[in-house]
Amino acid sequence: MTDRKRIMIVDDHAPVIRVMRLGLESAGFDVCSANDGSECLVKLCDEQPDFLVTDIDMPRMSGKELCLLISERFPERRFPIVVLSSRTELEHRDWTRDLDNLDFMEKPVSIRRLIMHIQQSFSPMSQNDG
Amino acid sequence: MSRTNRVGLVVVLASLIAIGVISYLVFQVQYEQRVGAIRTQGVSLVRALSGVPFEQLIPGGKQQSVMQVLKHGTRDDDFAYVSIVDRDGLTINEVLSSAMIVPASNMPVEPSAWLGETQYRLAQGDQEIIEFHAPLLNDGELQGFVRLGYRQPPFGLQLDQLPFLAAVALPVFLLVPLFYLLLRFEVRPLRQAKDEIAMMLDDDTHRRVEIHASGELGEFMQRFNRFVDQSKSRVESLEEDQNQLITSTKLLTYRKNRIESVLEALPESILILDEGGTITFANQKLAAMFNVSPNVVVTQPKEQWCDHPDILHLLDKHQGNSSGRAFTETIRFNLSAIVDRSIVTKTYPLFSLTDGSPPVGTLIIFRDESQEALARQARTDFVSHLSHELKSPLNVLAMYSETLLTDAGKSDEFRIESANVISDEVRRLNSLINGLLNMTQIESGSLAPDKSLVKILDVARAAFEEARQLAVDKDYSFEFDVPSEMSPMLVDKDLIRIAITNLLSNAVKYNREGGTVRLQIEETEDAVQLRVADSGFGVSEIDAAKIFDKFYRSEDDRIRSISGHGLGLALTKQIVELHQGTLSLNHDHRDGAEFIINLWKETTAVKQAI
Repeated sequence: MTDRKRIMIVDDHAPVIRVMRLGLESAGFDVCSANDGSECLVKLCDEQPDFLVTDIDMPRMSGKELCLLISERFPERRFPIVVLSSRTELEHRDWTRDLDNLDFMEKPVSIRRLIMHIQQSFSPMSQNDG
Repeated sequence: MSRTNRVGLVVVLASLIAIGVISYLVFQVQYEQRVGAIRTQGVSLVRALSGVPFEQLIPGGKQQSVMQVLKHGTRDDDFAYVSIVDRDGLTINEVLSSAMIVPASNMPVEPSAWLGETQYRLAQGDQEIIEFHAPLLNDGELQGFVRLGYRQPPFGLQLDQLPFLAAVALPVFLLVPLFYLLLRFEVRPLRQAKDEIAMMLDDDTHRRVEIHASGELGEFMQRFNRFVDQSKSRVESLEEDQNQLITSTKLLTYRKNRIESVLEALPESILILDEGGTITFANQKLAAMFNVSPNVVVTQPKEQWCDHPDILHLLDKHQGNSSGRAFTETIRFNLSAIVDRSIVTKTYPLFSLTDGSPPVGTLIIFRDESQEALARQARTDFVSHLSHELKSPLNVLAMYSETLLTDAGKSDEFRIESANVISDEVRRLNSLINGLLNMTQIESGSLAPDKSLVKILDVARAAFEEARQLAVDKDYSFEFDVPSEMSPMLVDKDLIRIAITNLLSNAVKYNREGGTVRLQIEETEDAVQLRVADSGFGVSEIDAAKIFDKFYRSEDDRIRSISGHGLGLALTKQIVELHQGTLSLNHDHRDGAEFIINLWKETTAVKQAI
C-alpha cells in the first residue's frame, strides 16, 4: 500500500495533460486524466483522486460545472481542487463562494509552482488547518 | 317707378282724396241746408195758403191774382208747382213752373194727415218732388187741399259752386305737396345718413357720416359718428388682438412642433406629465416600446397600454402629486414582460423658465440600455475569449519550456514532442494574432482594401493547393470545380486569399475521414460565386445562428475537439463585406457544410450603390 497521492488532471488539450503528467509523476504523484468534466465525473469513483487539477474552458462540461457538480454529488469527498484559468479576477470566480476547497491558478501556469501548491495542501499543517 | 315718384303719386292721390272728402262734406251740408230751407219755406207757405179763403184760390177774380202772385213771387228755382184740389184730389187751380206736371195723388182722409209732406218721383226727367199739402177749410168743413211742390235740390257740384270748390281745393292741393316737400326736406339728412351707412357697409371701410343737420337729428348723427368711431377703434383693436393671437398661435404651434420634433428625434423614449400627473405627451419610441400608438398612451388609462408593475408604480407616484414635490430618480428594470430588454428610467421635474413657481410637470425618460448591456457583455466575452485564446497556448509553451529545463524533460522523446507542440502552439498563436490584427483593422476602418485587377482563379487555385498540402496525411478527396477562364476582378488579393483559405481550412479541419473538400466557382454577368463545401459534421441550427460571431465555438464535441479559436469565419465575413460581397451558409446543403462567397463585379457594385 503506497502513500502516493493521486492527482486527476482534466483538460481538453492533450499536450497539457502529457506535460503535467510528466511533471507530477516526477514529483512522486500518481496521475490520472480526463479530457473534459463529464469524463472526469465518470472516472471519479474509480480513480478516487486526492487532488483535482482542471482547466476551466472545456467542451461538454466546463471546469466550473465540474466543480459545482462534485460539490453537489460528493459532499463527503472534499478533496482540494485547483482551477487553471486565463482570468482569475473576483468577478470570474464568484461562483466559488461556497467552495472552500478550491483555488485558482492563472495561466500560464508553472508546473513547479503547481507541484508546490499540491504538496503544500497535503502537508500535515495544511491538513490540520483544514 | 322710383320710390320718390311713388311717394309723389301717393301725395297727389291723398290730396285729391282730401279735396273729394272736403267737397263731399260741403255738398252734404249745402244740400241739407237747402232741403231744410225748402221745408221751412214750404211749410210756412202751405200754412199760409191754407189760411186763405177757398174762394180766393179758385179760378176767377182775385183768386187768380193770389196764385199769380204766388207764381211770380216765388222765384225760387226749386219751386215746382202750387195746386188747389178738391177733397178728392181733383185739380181746381194750379200754378206750375216750366215743364212741370203735378203728380197725381190721393189726398188724405184722416184729419191728422191733412197737413203733411210727401215725396214723389216724377217719371219724366228723373226728378224728385217734395210736396207740402194742407187742408182748405170753409167754416170748418174741408173744401180741398193746397199742394205746394218743390224740386228736390240736386246733390253735387253745381256750376255756381265752382269758385267755392276752387277756394277749398286749391289750398289743399297746394298744402299737401308743401307738407310733402317739407317732410322730404326734414328727412333728407336721414336719407343721406342711410345712403352713407349703406356705402359704408358696402365699402367695408371706415368713414364718418357727414350730415349737417341741426336739432335732435344733428345730435343723433354726432352720437352715431362717435359710435362709428368707437366701433372702428374697437374693431381695429380686435383685429390687432386677432393678428397677435394668430401670430402667437403660429409661434406656439411652431415651437410645439419643434419641441416635439426634438423629442421625437431623441434616441430615448419620452413621457411628459403635467403637474397633476396626467400624461400629455409620448413620443413614438415610447409608444413602440409598449407596442401601441402615442395617442393611446396619452388618451387611455395607463393600465390599458402598460402592464409592467414598476412603470405603473412610477406613474402612480406622479399622479396626484399635487404638493409640487419633484424628484429625480433612476429605476432600472427589465421589460421582460414585454420584450427582453433592459430599460433605465430617469425622472426630472419640469420648471417654468420665467418664474420660480412649483414644477409644471414631469419628464420621464425611458432609456433602452439593452444594446449597451449587450455590448458590455460582448466586450466582456471578447476579452475572456481573447485571454483564453492567448493564454492557453502560452500556458502550453510555459509548461513545456519549464519541463525541458528539468530532469523529467531531458528524454529525447519529450524533446521531440516539445518541439512539435511548441511549433503548433506558435503557429496557433500567430494565426490568432494575425486574425485579430486583421479584424481589428477592418473594424476600426484603418484597413482599406488594396484593390487591383486580380485573377480570382489563380488566387483560388493557390489557396486550394495550400489546403491540399495541409491535409496531405488525410484521406480526403479534393475537387476544384472552376471555369477554364475568368475575367479579372477588382479585389484585395491578399484579403481574398485569406478569406478563401479560412473556408478551405475549416473544410479540412471539420471533415470526416475519407471526406470531400470542394471549391466551386461560378461566374455570371454580374457576380462571381465561390462555394467551399465539405462532407463533415455539418452545421446545426443553433450553430448556424452564431457561426459568424467572433470567438464562437460550437458545443459539439466533435468540433470542440478540433483546435480553433473562433475567428476564421468572423474574419472571412468581414473581408467579404469589405468588398461589398456576402458570405452565407447554404442551409440547403446536406452531408456537410457549404459556405458561399458572393462577390459583385465592380460595375454591378457601382450600379447597386447608385
